[in-house]
Amino acid sequence: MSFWIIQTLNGLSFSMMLFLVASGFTLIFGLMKIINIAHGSFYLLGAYIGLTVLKATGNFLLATLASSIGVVLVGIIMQRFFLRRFHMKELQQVLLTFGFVFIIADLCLWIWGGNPQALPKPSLLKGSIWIGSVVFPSYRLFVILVGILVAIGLWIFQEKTKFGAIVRAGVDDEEMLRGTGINIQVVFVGVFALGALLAGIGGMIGGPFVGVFPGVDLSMLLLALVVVIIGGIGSLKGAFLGSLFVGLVDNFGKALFPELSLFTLFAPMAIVLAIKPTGIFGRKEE
Amino acid sequence: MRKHLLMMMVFAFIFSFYSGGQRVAGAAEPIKIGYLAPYVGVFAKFGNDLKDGFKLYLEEIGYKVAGREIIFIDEDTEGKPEVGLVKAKKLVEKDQVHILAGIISSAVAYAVRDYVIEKKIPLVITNAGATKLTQEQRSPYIFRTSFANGQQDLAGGWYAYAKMGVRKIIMMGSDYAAGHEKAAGFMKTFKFMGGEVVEGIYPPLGTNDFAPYLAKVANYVGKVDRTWAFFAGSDAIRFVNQYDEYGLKEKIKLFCEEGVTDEANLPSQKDAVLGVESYARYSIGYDSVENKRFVSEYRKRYRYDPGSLSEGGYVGAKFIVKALEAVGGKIENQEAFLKALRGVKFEAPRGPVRFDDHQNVIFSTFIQRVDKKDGKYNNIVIDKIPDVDQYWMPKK
Repeated sequence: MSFWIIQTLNGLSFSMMLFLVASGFTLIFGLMKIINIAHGSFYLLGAYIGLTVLKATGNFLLATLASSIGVVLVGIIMQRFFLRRFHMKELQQVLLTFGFVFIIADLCLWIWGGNPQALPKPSLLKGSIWIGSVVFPSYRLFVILVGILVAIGLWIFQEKTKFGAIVRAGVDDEEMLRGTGINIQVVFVGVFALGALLAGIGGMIGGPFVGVFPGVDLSMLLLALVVVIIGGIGSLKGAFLGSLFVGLVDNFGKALFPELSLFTLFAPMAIVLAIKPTGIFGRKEE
Repeated sequence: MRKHLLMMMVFAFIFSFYSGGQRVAGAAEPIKIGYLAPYVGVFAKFGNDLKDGFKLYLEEIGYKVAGREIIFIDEDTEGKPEVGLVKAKKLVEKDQVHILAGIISSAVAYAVRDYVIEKKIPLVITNAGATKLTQEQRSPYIFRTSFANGQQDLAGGWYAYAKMGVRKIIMMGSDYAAGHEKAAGFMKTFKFMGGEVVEGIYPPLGTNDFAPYLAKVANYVGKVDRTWAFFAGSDAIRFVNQYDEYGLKEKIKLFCEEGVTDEANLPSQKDAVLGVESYARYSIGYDSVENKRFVSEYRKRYRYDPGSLSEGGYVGAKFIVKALEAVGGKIENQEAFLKALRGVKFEAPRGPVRFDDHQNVIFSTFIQRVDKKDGKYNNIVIDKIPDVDQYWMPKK
């Protein structure tokens, strides 16, 4: 019994971290149709900036704030000065964001060195919690909590706020939205920054257990891609369920069949693609 | 105007030719050492450690041996075999290097093996551990100053059984060639002594989350004596931190390969790694005159602690230079140089080193433990097994 409880909680904590990264990716794609290959780089940047501030001040909240500001700024610069020029030109966008992957990775290597590092946990969450007869690290419960809160926040944002309504309208019919006199460029920048912010927070939250090192940007991007392909690209609900699915399947796959670890990650993706090529919540292109 | 330009070019050409010729006539031509290591991506840190160590020794001798200048030419393999081979060709054919050295990845080492043998260029491997390179596929041109995968592990497996009293063990290592070769080395002597391996878990390289595997280890609490582990870089940090997080550190103690508790990892592992024991080809805490000097010089020059790769680079450079000294700098007489290199012996930071008959280094293996002093984490030596070679076997 305790095996199943622990593994489920493990899976959930990993799922929620995946959700933070994948939700930003899917938001950006949903509105702007940009496949942001540099999305994992926001994770990398967020974690490194957080680490630096954490080392200097020892304050987790302050570090989160600083890293959020950092990635949002980078996101705005990327969208405003580069990606905007290539609106709806998918190949150019992919190539451009791919270039950013290399630039950001090399800058990080230059500034922070290639030494793999882990973010220290906030001292409040260092210990473990007993759930019945099982021990579980409290930090991972915190990750689950943050993931759920962010998911609720995003849902409220999308469904209940005016800006959310504008974004939804933009996803459905961008030209009509322009026609109603809304400055779509501001919406674009806002959503891109929000996507970057989510990935940056993913880096802060994931930093203490996944760590930060050269190469984590691409491995995060890969996981985010698997999540959104399963969940349906462009859909927040899809990203949430996709994360749950990937996190849990991956976790139980590894625990039950350790030799097949990569298989259990990619096989579900292949099956979903074969049955429903748009993903579980994906919409057909008209 | 155009004519003038042409004239100037001709002059410049003749002049450069002239002065070039003069240099050859004046002093002896420099000895060129080509260096291959990865400096981007996941391996960047390893590559830089290896190079920093290598260059530290060259700096100590002022880039000069037997009156000849040493030129160090560095190329980035990116850790990829195909890139490594292209760079090796560039170093040999364009730069005309006399010796090749370096190489982190065994795949890169295999890729350049046939080429260096064909071109008759001595290759001094300062890290890559693939066993075959100094066993079945050895060559008089290939030397290895670091270790063969499984070499120090042979001593480790024996030590666990004979000195630590371990009878039952769980093996955990990264699922790639080095992980399996090291595990095999450890198990060879451990089983030979009578130990039992109750479980083998091999997660892929770059495992983001070890939690699912650790839940499996937790089932063995009280049933096994130790967990053996080999992970490197970011995997090692996650592994150690999560092993502690799940409360396993005290329940099933770790006995690791040195990569897990490399000095570079300790600042990120902190208290999770405190007290963890490992076996190592090099330990920063080894109390010898040469090692103390090396550590202090290294810290002074680069402002970080040397790990086993740093020491590996340093030792590789010293092997080459000692051989060059022995032949009076005459690298052109290759047969004499290779013979001299085979016979080089000296006191390295890790203790006395020399080559075996297959040109793989023999060294002492340290048993070490992570200790905390003045808020800083470092490995300290608790025992030493002298003269371990790649075929080392204990007596029962």
